[in-house]
Amino acid sequence: MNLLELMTVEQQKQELLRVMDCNKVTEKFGLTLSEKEAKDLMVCRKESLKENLRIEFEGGILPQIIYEFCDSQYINQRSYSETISELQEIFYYYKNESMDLLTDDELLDFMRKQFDEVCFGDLDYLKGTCLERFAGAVRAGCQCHMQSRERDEYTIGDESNEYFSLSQETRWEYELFKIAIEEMD
Amino acid sequence: MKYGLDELFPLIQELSKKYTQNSSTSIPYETAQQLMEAILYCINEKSEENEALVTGQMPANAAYETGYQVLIKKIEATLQLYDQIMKNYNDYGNTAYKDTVFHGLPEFFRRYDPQFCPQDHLLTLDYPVLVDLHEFQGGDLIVKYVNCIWLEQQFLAKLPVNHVTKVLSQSPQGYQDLFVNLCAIVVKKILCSMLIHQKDWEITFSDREYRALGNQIKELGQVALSERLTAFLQFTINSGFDRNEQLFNYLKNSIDNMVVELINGAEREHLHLVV
Repeated sequence: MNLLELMTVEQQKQELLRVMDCNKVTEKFGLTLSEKEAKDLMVCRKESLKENLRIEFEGGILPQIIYEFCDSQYINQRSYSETISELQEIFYYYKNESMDLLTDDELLDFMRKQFDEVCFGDLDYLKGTCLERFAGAVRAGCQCHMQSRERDEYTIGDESNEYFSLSQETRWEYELFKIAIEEMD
Repeated sequence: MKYGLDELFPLIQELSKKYTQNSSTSIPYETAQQLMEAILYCINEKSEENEALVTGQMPANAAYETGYQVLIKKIEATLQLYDQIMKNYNDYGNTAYKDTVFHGLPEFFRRYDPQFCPQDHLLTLDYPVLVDLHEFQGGDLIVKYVNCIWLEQQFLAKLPVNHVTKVLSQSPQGYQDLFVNLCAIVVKKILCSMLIHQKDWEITFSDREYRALGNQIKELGQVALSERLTAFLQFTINSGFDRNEQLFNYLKNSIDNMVVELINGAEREHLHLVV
């Protein structure tokens, strides 16, 4: 085995340890990964990187995705591994689609917010609407809230979701629904 | 000097961290390729100080750092040379010259990226110089190119401006909107004047002078004509340009093409279209 292969094997060992370490935080939310699931995630990561023509040198995005999404109400133990795998795939795809104009944090921040507030845990919806429109806006020169510093420690309470300005979906309005229910009574 | 991937891999890892400012854990293949080319470009930078590199004793990261510093120094020196050129700059109305030297080169100095993309010279360098630079790229190409422009400006600046402008204007193929080398046109005029024994080089030749030139060219033939023109050029540089060897070697590159044009012109009796 040459030096490069040794370096790669060592790197993979370290990455596996990092992913397994995430369990210390995620078990609070009832989510844990077995060693087999962690290894499967890393295989998916390798395939996804190849498919999206990207290269990762060290670390990898997997632990960050896990930490970002572990406290979401739309993820449970049964679908945990599969959801993380899909999120990883979506992440790499949209790093390309946004032409690397977004940092990892900016993209993950947007994904998490939309996953909970707009998509209610639906990954197909996240991939096919929110992220598609957002990536298009970024390519056209739009800055996300994080880039323009609208979401920092001073505006944590800000409830506006930047996706609503991009959304083209017809949505039901809660206030109208409430009035309709009251009138029925 | 060849380095294996096991030596280059940590370098590209480090460079990609700098490139993304540690804000991305992955980069596209294209970016990785660009960064790898950047590393190899810097490693290949030759320098007298780089003896250890030449003998293969220097590790890859040291070779890269040394090459990078060499490149930076070269670009800085070239910028100073460019500032020198612009003090007495004259493009004589040639559009390609102006676009490349006056407009293009400042943009290169503004936008050149020696760290992440030193292999990209950014400009198309439309104005043709007298040496073939196709084997060079990136910062090195611009260094060589600016040096050529410096030699040309030194040569043309020593000649009366109105003489040069008139010679260029009367050039049969025109010159303002064409991608032609200005020095080649002027040198051709000077050397042909010397061929027909004119004491001072004339802007226009009479019909009699064109006939004399044609006869002289046919009499000499290709090899002898080339030798004669080279000798005249040497004399011109020695007497008027302080024996500037670099300038002589540069302008000598125009003689081969000149000889072919003159011989064809003499054979077809259209020297008035050549010089």
